[in-house]
Amino acid sequence: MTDIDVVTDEHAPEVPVLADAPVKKVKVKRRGRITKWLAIGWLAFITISAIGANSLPYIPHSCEPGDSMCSTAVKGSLLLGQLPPKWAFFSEAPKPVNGAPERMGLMGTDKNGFDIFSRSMLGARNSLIIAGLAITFGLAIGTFLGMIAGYFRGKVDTVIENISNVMLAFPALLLAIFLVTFFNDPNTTGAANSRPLWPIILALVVLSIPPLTRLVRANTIAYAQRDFVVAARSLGAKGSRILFREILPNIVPTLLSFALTGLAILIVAEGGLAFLGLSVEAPVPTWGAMIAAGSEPLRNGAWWISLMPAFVMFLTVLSINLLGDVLAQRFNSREAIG
Amino acid sequence: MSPQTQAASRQVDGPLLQVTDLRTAFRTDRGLVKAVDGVSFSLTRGRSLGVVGESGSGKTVLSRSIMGLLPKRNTERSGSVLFEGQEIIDLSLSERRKIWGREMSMIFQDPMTSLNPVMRVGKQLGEGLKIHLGMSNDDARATALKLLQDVRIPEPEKRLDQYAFELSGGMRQRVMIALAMSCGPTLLFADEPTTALDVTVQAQILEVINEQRRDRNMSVILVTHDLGVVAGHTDEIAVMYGGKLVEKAPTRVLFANMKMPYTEALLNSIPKIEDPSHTRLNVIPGRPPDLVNPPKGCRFAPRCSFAQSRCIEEEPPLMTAEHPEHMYACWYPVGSPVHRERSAQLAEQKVGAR
Amino acid sequence: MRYVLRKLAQTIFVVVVVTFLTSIALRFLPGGTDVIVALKTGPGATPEQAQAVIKELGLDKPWYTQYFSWMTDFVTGNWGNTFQTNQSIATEVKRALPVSLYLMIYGQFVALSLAVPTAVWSAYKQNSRFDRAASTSAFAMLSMPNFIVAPVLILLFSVNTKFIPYPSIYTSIFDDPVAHFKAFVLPSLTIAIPLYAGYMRVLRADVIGTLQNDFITTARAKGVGTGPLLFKHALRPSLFSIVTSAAVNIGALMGGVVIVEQFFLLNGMGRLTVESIFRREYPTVQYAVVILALIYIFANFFVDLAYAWIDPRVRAARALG
Repeated sequence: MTDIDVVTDEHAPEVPVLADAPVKKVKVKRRGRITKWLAIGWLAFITISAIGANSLPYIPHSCEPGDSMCSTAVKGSLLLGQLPPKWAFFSEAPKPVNGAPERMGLMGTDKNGFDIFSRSMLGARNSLIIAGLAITFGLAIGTFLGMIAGYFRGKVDTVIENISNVMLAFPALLLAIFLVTFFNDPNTTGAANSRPLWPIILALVVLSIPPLTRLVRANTIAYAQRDFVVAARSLGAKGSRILFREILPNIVPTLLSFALTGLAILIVAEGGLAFLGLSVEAPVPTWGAMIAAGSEPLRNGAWWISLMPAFVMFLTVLSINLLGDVLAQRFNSREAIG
Repeated sequence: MSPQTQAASRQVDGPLLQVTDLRTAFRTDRGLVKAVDGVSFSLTRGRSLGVVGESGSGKTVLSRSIMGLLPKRNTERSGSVLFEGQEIIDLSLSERRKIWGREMSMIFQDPMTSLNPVMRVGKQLGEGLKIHLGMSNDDARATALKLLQDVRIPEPEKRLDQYAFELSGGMRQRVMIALAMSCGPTLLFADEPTTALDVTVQAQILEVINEQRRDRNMSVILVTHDLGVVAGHTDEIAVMYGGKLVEKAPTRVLFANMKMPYTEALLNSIPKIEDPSHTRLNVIPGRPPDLVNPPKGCRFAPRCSFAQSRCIEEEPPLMTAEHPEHMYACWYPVGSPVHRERSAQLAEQKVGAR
Repeated sequence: MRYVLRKLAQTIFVVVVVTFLTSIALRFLPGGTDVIVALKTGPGATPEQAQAVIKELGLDKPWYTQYFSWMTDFVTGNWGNTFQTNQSIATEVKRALPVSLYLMIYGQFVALSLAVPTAVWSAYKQNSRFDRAASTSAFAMLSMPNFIVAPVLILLFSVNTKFIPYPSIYTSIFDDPVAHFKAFVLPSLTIAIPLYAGYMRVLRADVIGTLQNDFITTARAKGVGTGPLLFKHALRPSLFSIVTSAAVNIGALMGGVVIVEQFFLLNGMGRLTVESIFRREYPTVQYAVVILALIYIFANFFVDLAYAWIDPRVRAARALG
C-alpha cells in the first residue's frame, strides 16, 4: 500500500513557524516561470506574424478573383496541392508532377496549394481581432452591469439577473449560431462571400456578457462589504464615486484574469463558429474553417491540413490560459497576504 | 463478547505504552522541522497523562506520531514506540490500520470538523465496528446506540439518523468520544478535546472521558495547552517545549513543586479568580523556538526571565527531583538559589517601575 | 419541498421566456416575412400564396396569439413541413434526437468516469509524479476544443489504424450494439476529453480540500482503509463543484455535440440545426433550438436537486429558506 496516510499537505497541523512556502511550491514556481515565458514568447510570435501575415515569404495564402496571384495559385495548385510539410519525412506525398517538390513549407499546403503556415498566421489575425474586440466590449458591458447589480442590488439586480438567466438558458454555441444567422442574413448583408466581421463579434459579445456580469457582480458584492467601502459610504460618498474610485480599482486585477480566460474561450467559440462555416467567409482564412476544410483530406492521410492550424490554435489558447492562470494565482496570493 | 470485556480481559505486563527517544521531523524547504526531538516516557494501563505546551511545542505531533497518523512522505520518524510490548513504529499502513480504532483511537479539537458532514452519525459509529469486529449492519447499529447511551447523549435513538450539523458542539464531541470508544481501545488520545467548546460544556466532556477511562480501564493521553484542564483530570503531567519534554511528574507533585520556569510561566499565564479585575495577564514574552535551528542550550532560555549564561550554552538533561517520578530539564530550577535571587531582583524592578 | 417548488417555478419561467423568444423570432428576421414566403414558394409568389404562408406560420396574428398557437403546435407535435423538401419536421427531429442524446450521455459518462478516479487519486497523491502528469495533461486538454481533438483521434484510430470506421454511421443499439458503440466511441471521446479536463481539475482541488479536514483523520484513526476513505468519506463532500460544473458544461456539451456531429457526419440535432440554418429552414431551426434549450434547462433543474442529495446541510438550509 501507499505510504501517504492522512494529512495530504506538506505539514501536519502543528508544524511550528513555517513562514515560507514548502519545498515543492518553489519547484513549481520555477517551472512555471519557464512556461510563462514560453507562453509570452509564442503569443508575441503569433501577434507579430499576424500583423505581418501578408508579407510572409511563402506562396499565396488566399485568392481573390481577378487577382494576378490567383492564377499562379490555381496553376500552382496542380503541382503544389496537399503537400506535406518539409519535415514530415514519414508522410507519403502525392506523386509530384513535373518535378515539383514533394514536400512544401513549414506546415505543408492545402487542397488549393496555399501555404498552411501563412494561412494559419492570417487566421491568427482574424481570430485574435474578433475575439479581442468581443472580449473588450463584453468586459466593458459586463463590468458595468455587474457593478451596478452588485452594488445597488434590489430591483436592478433582479432584472439583470433574470435577463442573464434567460440568456444562459440557451446553450452558448447554439445562441451564437442563432445570432450569427440572424445578423448575417444575405438579404441585408449582400453577397455571401463578403460577410462583415460585426455579426460574429456581436454574437460573441452577447455570449460573453452574462457570465462576465455574474463574475463582476460577485466580486463587487464582496468588495462592497469591505471596511474601506463602508467607511467611504459613511463619509457620504456618492454611489458612482464609490463604484469607480473604490471598487473598480480593486476588481481590475480580477478583470484582467477574466479578460485572458474570456479571450481563450472566445477564440475557441469563434473557432467553433468558423468550423461550422458561420464566421467570416471562405477565402479569408480562420483556424476553425481551416480545420473544417482539412477534415475530408484527413481521411486520405493528409493530416497536416487539419492538424497544423489545430496545433497553432491549441498553442495559442494554451498560452493564453497559462497566462490567465499565472495572473489569477498572483492576484489570489496577493489577496491572501494583504 | 462485547468489545469492552474483550479489551479488559487482555493481560498485559509492564507499561501499556513505552516511548523511547521518539523523534519526528518534517522535511520543508527551510530544512528539517524537528517537531518532536527525543521524547521518552511510559504510561501504565488505566492511567491518564496530560501533555501540556504552547502551540508549536510539538504536543499534537507527538500524539499523532505515536499513533503513526502522520504522512510518511515528508516525515522522518525514529526512536521506539512499544505498545503492549510490541514495537509499532515500523508497522506498515495496513498493520497500523488494525491498531487504529481497535487498540488506540483519537479525539480531535473541533467536533464540527472531525465528524463527516455528509454521513449519518449512526453510520459513522458503526463503521469501525464493521471493520474491526466484523459486525453486521444491525449489530453495528445496536452497538452504536449503546455507545451513545454510554456517553450520555440525550435521545440517542434519534441521534443515530442525524447528521453532525444537527447536533450541538457538546453533543458532537460526545459522538466523537463514542466513536473513539467504539471498538474498545486501550489507549485514547484526546487532542485538545475541549478547546472548541463552551466553558460549561468543557467540564462535562472531560468528565465523560474520565468515566470511560475508569469503566474500561483505558489509558488516556490528554493533549492541551491549558494546565487548568489537566489539573483535575490526569494522573500525570508532561510539559513540552520546543519538541522536548521539559518536565514530567504526577499531577499533584507537579502543582506542589514545579521545577521548570516554563511550567511556572504557563501556570501564571492562566488568569486567577482572586486577581483583581484588569490585572495584566502574565503572558510569556517572545515566540516558541525555531525548530529548524533550535537554540544550542536550553530551548526556553531566550524567553526565560531566569536564564543564565550556562542556560544559553549548555542543554540541560532531564534530571530527577526529590520525588522519584518527577523529572525536569533546567539548570536553575524554581527554588534553586540562582532562581530565588533573580526573582527577588525581578520583583524589585516591578516595584521600581511603578 | 419548498426549495423544489421554487426551483420549478424558476425553471418554468425560463422555459416560457425561451419558447416565447423562439416563437416570435421569425418576425425579426432581417428582410421580414418576404424572405420566408420566398423560401416557401420559390421566387415570384402571388399575393394569395404569400398570404397563405403567412397564415400558416401565424405571422398574421398578434404576437401573443402567435405564441399560443405556436406552443399548441409544439406540444401536440404539429410542427409542419420543411420549406424546401416538404418533409415532416417532427420526423426529422425524431430521427436526429436519439443520436444527440446518446452523444451527450456517452460523452458525459466517459468524462466523469475518467475524471473521478483520476482526480481522487491525484488529490490523494498530491504532487506525486502521477498527479503532476494528470494535472498538466488536464490543463493542456482544457485548451483543446472538440474540433482540435476530433482530427487527432480520427488520425490515430481511423486513418492510421483503420480500427474504427470514419465517418461514423449511426446504428441503433438494439439492432447492432457493436456497430453502435463503434460509431460512438470516437465522437464520445472527442466530447469527453475537454470535459474530462475541467472535471478533473475542479474535483482534484475539492478533494485536496476535503482531505485536509479532520473528519478524514477521524476516519483514518478509526482504521478505515484507503479505498473506502477516499470514495466513501472524501468523495461525496467534494462533489459540490463538479456537479455545478457538470451542469454548466451541459451548454458546452451541446456545443460539442454540434461540432462533433459535423465532424463525424452524424445526423443528430446539431447537424440538423446547422444544415437547416444553411438551407434557411427557419421553423426547423426553431424547433431544434427549443428542444436543445429545454434539455439544457431541465438538466440544470435536476442538477439543482442533486445538490440536496450531496450535502444534507444544503437540504436543511434550503428547507428553511
